Amino acid sequence: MNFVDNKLIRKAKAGDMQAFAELVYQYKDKIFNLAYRMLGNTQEAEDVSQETFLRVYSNIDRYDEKYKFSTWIYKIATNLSIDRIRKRRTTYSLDDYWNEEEGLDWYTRLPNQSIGPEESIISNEEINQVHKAILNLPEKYRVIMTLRYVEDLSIKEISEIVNLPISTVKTRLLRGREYIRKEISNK
Amino acid sequence: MKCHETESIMHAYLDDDIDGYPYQEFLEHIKTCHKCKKHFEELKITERLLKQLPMVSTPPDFVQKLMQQLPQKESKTRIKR
Repeated sequence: MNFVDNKLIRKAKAGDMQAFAELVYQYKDKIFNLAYRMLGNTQEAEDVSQETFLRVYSNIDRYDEKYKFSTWIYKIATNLSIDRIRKRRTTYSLDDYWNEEEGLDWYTRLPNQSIGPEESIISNEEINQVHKAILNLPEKYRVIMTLRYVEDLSIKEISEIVNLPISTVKTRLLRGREYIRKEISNK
Repeated sequence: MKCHETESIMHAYLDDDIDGYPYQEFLEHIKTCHKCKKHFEELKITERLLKQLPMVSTPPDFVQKLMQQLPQKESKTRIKR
């Protein structure tokens, strides 16, 4: 949480649309990437991200400034992502939605600044392996792995978002990493 | 140290939280245990890959679409950026 967030939230609570839009600009990429790694495709990620901000907008009066704004918005986004996964389970299989993936050409979607010299050591094939391995995890592990590695959050903040003790978050990280390690190493 | 005792130490290392774990003993163990050494190396590679997952771009019309969905009377405010 920072001072800027607090100021914007107070203005947004008072009905200042420009302040609300600034909050959206600050968080949209974080929320979209979280939803994308949770759901595996851009269309659903966009739907869930839009819904997240609509919820923020309609519930902003209930937001309590004692807590970090990021914790609150991540909580909304992770819950909506999990709901979406559960709803589609009856109609979708994993294979179905992987077939809808953009495939290798999604590299072209990356913002230029993210392809620095250090990132170039990771191959497209490795990216896809890790991406699919995350999507194969049961959602209770997937959410923790995404918050940790896509959002780069501390274990403490993750525990606040998912309402679980730090020890449980660590156990889920352990299992998530072990699963992905095995997926990568067996190929 | 037994092999089955090493996994939690490896993950504590990745969580940057080795206090209270016999980390030195673990380092001695992997000098001679190929299996645990390999496990640890694989985990470090896994974490490196996870950290390097690239950011995908949010659709360019994301904010515009969102603002259009907000309750009508307030969405008349023009958003500058």
